[in-house]
Amino acid sequence: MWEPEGNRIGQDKLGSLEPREVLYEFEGEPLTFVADDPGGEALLLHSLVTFDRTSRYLVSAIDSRILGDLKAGRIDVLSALRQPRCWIADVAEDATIKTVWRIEFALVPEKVLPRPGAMINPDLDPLFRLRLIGSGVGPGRTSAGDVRMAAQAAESGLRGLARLALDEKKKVGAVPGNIRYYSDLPFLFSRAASFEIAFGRPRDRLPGIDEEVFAEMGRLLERGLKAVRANNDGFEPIEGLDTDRTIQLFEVIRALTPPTRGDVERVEIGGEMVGERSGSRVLTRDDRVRSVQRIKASRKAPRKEAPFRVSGVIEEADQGNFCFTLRQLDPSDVPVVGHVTEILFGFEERLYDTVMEAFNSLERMVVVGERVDSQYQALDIKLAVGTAGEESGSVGFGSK
Amino acid sequence: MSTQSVSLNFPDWFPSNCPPSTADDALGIVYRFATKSPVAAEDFLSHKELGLAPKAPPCRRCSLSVYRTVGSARRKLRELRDRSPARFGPYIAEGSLSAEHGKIKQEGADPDHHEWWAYQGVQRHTLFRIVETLES
Repeated sequence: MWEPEGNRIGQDKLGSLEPREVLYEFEGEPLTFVADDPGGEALLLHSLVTFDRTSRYLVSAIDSRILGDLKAGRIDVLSALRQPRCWIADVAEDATIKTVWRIEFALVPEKVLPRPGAMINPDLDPLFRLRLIGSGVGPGRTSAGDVRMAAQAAESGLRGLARLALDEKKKVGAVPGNIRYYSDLPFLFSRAASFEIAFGRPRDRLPGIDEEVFAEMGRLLERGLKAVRANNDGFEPIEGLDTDRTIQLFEVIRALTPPTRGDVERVEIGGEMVGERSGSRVLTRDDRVRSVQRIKASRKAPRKEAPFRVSGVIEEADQGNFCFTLRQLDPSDVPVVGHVTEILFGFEERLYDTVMEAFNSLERMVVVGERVDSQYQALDIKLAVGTAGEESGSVGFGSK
Repeated sequence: MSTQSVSLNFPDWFPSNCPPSTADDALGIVYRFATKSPVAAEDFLSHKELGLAPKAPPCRRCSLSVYRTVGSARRKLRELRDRSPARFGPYIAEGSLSAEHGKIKQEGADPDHHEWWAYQGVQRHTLFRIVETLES
């Protein structure tokens, strides 16, 4: 058993350590709780280990602000415990205090401490977190570009997973919310040490449904990673997913992986969505290369047609599912598409503001799109400035 | 699973009215956390037997936490290991309980979480086998 490094003090110096307020318990046993010292000041106790009919606690002197932050989910358990005045207390079977050591927090073995990000209320634990690892990442070294990359990787990866997971739900008739709800998650915290960013659950919960969707997103991520790391170079659809959805999943992996050059060498992803079984995953540059190889291999087979251009008005837009309906088409006989009165386009995040502005203003827009299998994807959207006839037609490659 | 000699009586150190009359016969598959693989008897001892959690409710100290689904067990174990990684091992054991193994009752907010009070003489760990290991 680990022996605390510090001076032993009298068993009664901290008082009885009787729980005044239980913050986290299991099987009726308080694992994290507040007690009062003999002067009535708050002590935060956290169960570290048990042995020989003894429970060992880390005891930290805290004030009401720290306790408030801990209970509100503004700080994690580890941060609340990391205080200048700390002790280790061994409590016997009959609740008497056997031994107390005055210790330095830094000397407590990391393996017995709560993990970073573990909140006092498990509902507030990070759902998804992403940590950049590399020689050029850390306090005073992480660049704004790295921070942006981390946020974009998380958002982009989650969006892809949400789209796939919701497709699965729609297949069985359940339509639980939209892609944005499950991907544009509330920011929880970031850390400077090897830059980490964490996201929580949506604020307006859909009990039960949310858990199913996030669990499905986690399973998809696991399957995608397994397929990327499989020992083959070509492209094979992942079992249960068609070609398009397999590619989408590989795009997710690519989005989450570190660039092949630069300061970020690895990316660790974790949180409840990822770590229910595995804890966390470290994505490498090799994962990026492999995911790109898989995507390229899949695209050898022609599946797109030449881009086309059409003008019209965005009369409907679904910001959650990243799609809009273009009507008042000109010409009505659209190249590639044919004679139609409306076209449903999907679009990427980068076009989000443009689509929403066009939808709100109902101004005529020119959309450059392409057919991908049976669906249409908007590649570019601009305000129509000339006559309708000049704005429409086929688009040569490289004309964007 | 071993052949066991059980009495269908609870140990005499159980408090009176424990388990509660609302507890049912222990039937079906359940999952429990374990620190060792293969399963060890010490992972199937109650707080009372281990001399821990003196402030916990007396009857609850005599029971073992089990889960009806591996998913629930996995979620809870992950949660506990995130908070006290040295207290909770990485293993999940699966066992098949029947009426001769004791009584069981749902407890807490998780509908899959149950308390199991084993009859005197039940070799609890022999009913289980490790089915999953959480990576750290």
